[in-house]
Amino acid sequence: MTEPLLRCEHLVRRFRDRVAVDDVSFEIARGEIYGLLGPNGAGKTTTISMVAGILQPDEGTITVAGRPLTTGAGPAKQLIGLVPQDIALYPDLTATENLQFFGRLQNLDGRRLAERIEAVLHVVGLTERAGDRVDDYSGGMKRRANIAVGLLHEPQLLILDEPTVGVDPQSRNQILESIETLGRAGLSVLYTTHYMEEAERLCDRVGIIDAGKIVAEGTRRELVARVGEHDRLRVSITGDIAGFAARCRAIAGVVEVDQVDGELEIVAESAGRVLAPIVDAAEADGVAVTGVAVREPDLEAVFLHLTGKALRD
Amino acid sequence: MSGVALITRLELMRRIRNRSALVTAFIAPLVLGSVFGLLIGGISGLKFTIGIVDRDNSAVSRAFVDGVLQRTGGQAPRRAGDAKDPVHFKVLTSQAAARHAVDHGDVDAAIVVPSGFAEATTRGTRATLLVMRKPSLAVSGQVAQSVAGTFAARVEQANLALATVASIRPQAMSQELVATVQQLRSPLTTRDVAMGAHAVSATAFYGAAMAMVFLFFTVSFAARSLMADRRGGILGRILATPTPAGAVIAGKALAVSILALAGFVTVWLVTTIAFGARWGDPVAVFVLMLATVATLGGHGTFVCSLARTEQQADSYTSAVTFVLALLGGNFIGPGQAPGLLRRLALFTPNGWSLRAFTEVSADAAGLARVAGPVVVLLAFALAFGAVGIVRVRRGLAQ
Repeated sequence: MTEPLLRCEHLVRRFRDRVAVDDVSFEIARGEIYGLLGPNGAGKTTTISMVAGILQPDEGTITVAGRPLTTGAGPAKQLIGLVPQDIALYPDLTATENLQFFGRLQNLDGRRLAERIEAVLHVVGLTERAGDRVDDYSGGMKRRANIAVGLLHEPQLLILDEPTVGVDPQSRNQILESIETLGRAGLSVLYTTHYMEEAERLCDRVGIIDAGKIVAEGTRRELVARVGEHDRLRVSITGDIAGFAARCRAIAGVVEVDQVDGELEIVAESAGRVLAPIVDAAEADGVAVTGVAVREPDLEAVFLHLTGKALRD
Repeated sequence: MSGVALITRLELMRRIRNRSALVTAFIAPLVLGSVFGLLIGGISGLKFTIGIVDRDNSAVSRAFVDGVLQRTGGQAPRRAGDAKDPVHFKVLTSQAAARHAVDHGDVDAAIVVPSGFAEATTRGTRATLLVMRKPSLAVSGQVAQSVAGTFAARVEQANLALATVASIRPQAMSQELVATVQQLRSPLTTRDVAMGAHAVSATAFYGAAMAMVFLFFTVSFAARSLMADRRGGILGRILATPTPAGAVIAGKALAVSILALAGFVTVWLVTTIAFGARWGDPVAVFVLMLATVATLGGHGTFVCSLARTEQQADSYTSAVTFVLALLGGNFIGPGQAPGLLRRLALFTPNGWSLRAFTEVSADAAGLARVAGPVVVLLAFALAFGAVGIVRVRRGLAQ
């Protein structure tokens, strides 16, 4: 079995009496995109800060490519690229000047530094605006410049901490495409988000973190299978909603029926098998069905099942 | 290039670009030096003109008036810069003319020699030298009173001598003897002997004192910059590189120290070149400046390590700056602090620094003599700086 690029074992980090990260362990293989999925305050950023070598864990160990990582470990740190949640750039400097500064801190210099700056600006699509001050950029451009700094020294592991927060859909899509490209090129990625759809799109594996603990880990399919989630149908009707709900509960394959915001939320073993009986029942009751939305089990549902709360809580 | 050098260079580049370096290192010190040069130079160059009216017009009163006029060689100094004596006298014709001259500022104060002055001095009757002054010009009034008081004391001294001779040899009381006694000088005189070759330059003292207050605020920029970087996530990004936290702190402190030293040197040059302030041996002055910047940097780092936000850092810096400036004697002229304050000043870095600057200014201390204060200043810098850095590093880990 090949050695994982990143191995975190039993990480614990306390802030005074509060335990922010509690016995967290996970691994990332070379070329794997690993998602750390959890709501705000779950411990994602603290975990990332330890993996990036900014914070020292109170307990546990981290190794990158077999090298132990501590806050003072230069060689291990050089294998990691960090893209923080904040736009961690000097706004009064140009993108090139920011890249030069952070590149030199990563021991790049001269021709090599110039080549890398050109390359990462191309990757994030900022070549044309490289000489502009960062505070003249749009929100999306700032995010892309933020990512460029993380890629500058060709790290083996890229850590992205909620890189699409506050970004317009176009820039968001561009960022996600860049990450997919990097992943296909063999870069390992640790990606934190509370956007379930991003985790589903990008990540080979996902760790679900809540209250400082990883409560579940695996591929999307594994996680959904593990919690045994069902399909969910949202049915909009006009007419006697209470009577119609009672009739739906009697349909074979329907697990649960609730009234939510004037609509029916129906949990079923298979949406395809219960949809026709539901329409027939509506006709029989003289109820008009004005809309039906079907949602297959996803990470949001898995998270809800595991933690009892929504991701955006 | 090391992490320290990279961070120092970046800090300086950003401050030069946003012009804050220009303000910190040159414009503000230039204004500070100019203001103190004008203010203190004006005070040390004070001149007083005292009017004098002889209403008695006797031989004795004329002798008195001639005596005081001889101090400046006439009615007024021929050129203002010629006379080293800051007090000049001007003869006025009447008491009314004296009142008018005082009211209109033609003279700063006036002394009126009353009728019967000669009789009073030779026969012991009463006569009063009248001093006319404006309440708003307290200092010039005191100067005029001092002149009159000095003459009264000399008359009393002569009369005492005459009385003594009369009691011993009454037959010897001739007119010649009276005249001789009147020419007597007091056997005791005073002379002001300063410990240095020169008096302390007030402009240099206040230039250094106020530059230090300015330095306290300047050195706090490093901590504020660190907090701003932390708030914006930049510090985390730097610490994720192989750059250690100590290099970040040192780099920012070094950049700010360079600006602070430039500001100090600007005050030195401005007050010296434009206002003739005498700071003393340049090598000793520069070494003291380096040590002062180092010690204030250490204090600034420590004070700001107590703060968690930029606003707290500002508040703490202001409070500590003014307390240390008061205790260290930055707001009090050289040698004017009361005894307790002089002792308390030795517990402050700025107090030590000011004492050394004062001695260098008086030429009483060269490089060898300031070695002691420099060692004390560096000890302050090391102690407070080390504690501050440890506290900042601990704060960064949280």
